[in-house]
Amino acid sequence: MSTDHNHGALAVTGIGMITCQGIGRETSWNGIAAGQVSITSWPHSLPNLPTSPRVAAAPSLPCPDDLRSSFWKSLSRVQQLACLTVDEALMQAKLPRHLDGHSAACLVSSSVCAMDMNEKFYFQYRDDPNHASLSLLKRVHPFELPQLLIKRHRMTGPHYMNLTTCVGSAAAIGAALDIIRCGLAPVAVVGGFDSLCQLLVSGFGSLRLISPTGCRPFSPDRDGILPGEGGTALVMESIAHAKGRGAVPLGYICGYGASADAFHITKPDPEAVAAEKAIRLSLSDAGMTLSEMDYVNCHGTGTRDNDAMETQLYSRIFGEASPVITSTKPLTGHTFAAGGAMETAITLLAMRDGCYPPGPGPQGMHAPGNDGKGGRQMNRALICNFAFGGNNTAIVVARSLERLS
Amino acid sequence: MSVAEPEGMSVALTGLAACGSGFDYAIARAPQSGMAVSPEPPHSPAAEPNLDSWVIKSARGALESAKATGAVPADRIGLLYLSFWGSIRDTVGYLESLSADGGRYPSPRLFTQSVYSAVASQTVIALGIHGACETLAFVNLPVYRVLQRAWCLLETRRLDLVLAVWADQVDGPAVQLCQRAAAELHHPELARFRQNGGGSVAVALSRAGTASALVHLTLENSPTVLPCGDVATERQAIETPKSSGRNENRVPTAYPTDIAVEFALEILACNRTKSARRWREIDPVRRQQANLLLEAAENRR
Repeated sequence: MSTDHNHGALAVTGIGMITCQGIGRETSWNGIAAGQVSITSWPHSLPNLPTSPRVAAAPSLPCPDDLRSSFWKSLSRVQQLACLTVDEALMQAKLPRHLDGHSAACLVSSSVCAMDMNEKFYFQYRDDPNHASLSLLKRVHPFELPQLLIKRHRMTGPHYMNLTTCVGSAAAIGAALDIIRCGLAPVAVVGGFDSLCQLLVSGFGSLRLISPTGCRPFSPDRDGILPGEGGTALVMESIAHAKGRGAVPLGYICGYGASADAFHITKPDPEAVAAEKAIRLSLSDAGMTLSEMDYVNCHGTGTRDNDAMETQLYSRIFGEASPVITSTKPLTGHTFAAGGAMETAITLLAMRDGCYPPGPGPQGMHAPGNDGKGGRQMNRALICNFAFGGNNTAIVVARSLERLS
Repeated sequence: MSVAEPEGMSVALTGLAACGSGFDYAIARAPQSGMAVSPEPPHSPAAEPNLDSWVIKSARGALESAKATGAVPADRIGLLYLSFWGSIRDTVGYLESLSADGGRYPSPRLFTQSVYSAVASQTVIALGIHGACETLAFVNLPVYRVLQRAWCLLETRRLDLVLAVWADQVDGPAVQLCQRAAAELHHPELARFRQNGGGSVAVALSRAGTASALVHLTLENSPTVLPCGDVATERQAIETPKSSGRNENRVPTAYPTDIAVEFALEILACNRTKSARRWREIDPVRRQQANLLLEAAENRR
């Protein structure tokens, strides 16, 4: 086990992000911090909506210098998101593109993987089996994503691809904590990436979970999610490794907790028993308490069941002493497996800039630039994610390790 | 900087169960090994049980053989689920419902089941498990990597018992597509999927030293790493292995589930003979390997 005397906290030294707000960490964060909404119409109609649904789509993605454009075009959009965000995260962490000297772990997540290509193939195949382009099947398996990153960045440590839908990248962050604490690697590239595809949008449409107008979590007129796409990559490393190479931490991942409702395949347990357990496990893992949390980035999807569950959960555990709670999904869309890493990055960037992420929460709307309760600086925060099948995760982050050390 | 694998990366295997219709070679060997497989004859694709029913059956069997039901709190039990193809039948079914009638009636049921992690979710609901539940994929060495993740979860005290389940189901259209893709794309991974069928293997794992262990597993050494290099050209090199070693031939097909069956057979053989064995997991395409030392629990004590 790790010998760091910081309750096993890990340093985050690099962040790469692509959202509907734009390409790049600062572009994305500036849009989110300003409360800017960036949504477009999905090109296909859904049977239960009068108009095309609104989505939070990322811009078109440029080919990095080191890859051939033909190869770039052969990649799934999820792989493209991963390549660009990992490049940005490594650059900020001041790590080289090739990590073979660092025994780096690769822990990533996606829920749709290459479904954009696979469904295109399937529709071609259905029309004419002999003329369907088999090259679209090249990325059919989920492991194609970590394989690409491992090879491109020469990552020789453990790897892992988590497919647990909306908690996938949060679970990847938890796995990075475990792997580094257990001494299996000193540094990890962690991320979540998801793209929009017909299967996903029409699937949520078939469940009547997509809002025709936009995402308004905790609002009385909320009517569903805003499907989004994007990706976030984090460089996480042991404090000793970061110090050893002179890296400047942007913040710290201090704890992680996970649990399962074992309740319903799509709905959360309305009593939120296991969700509360995940939060308490993450705090215990971090050696912190609920009262030390200045902010919660909640799941806040804008669906009736999730909003009701989360409202009850936070009211129960925090009572009158609630920290600032916001959902950033109206600004990024629900990016599914990418959400956990993206919302962790947003929280760390808000800590860096001395503000709180704007957005709606159970106590109402928090406008851009709000400085929390009584101007209190955000030092510690929780990021909560809840997924299909009742999978719950919570991550504890901190701006500094003053109290911990 | 190189990182040595921690010493004593060991777990105790306390339960095991398998079921399915795709284990022809395993079933043939099962009588000698005493393996608790539940072979099923090949079904027509329409009649074959869904993947989740196999996964639930094997996971429940592993829990029962570990005598963990009721003994370990439900929130201290977690699930690691690995599948190569996932719920491909439901995914194809959902896309079909999306294509039919101009997409007016896409099936919410098939969409829900097409989600990769739906099988794991169904399993934790069926078994009432409240610990962490992860649906995973790995580039290679599907048994070793899952055991390594399980070891981490146990070592960090996140869980007291990990159910690791490998399961797959491939039916007609997927096999046809794979064969065509293998021929036209020179994609050997896809060429290995030749038959309908599937199944599930589940093992229950606890921290090393658990008194009820059937077998102690030690993850001996790091597997060799993936070849690195220019991704645009490396792919071709990786897909054309130059030779095949003796051990590769022991793996008749390469579903991760088949490799898990092979592993399970070795565990049972080890437990039967009460002698230590080494099991080497080979990735047939990439020719990487991981060694696992299997040691009958009685021998160790």
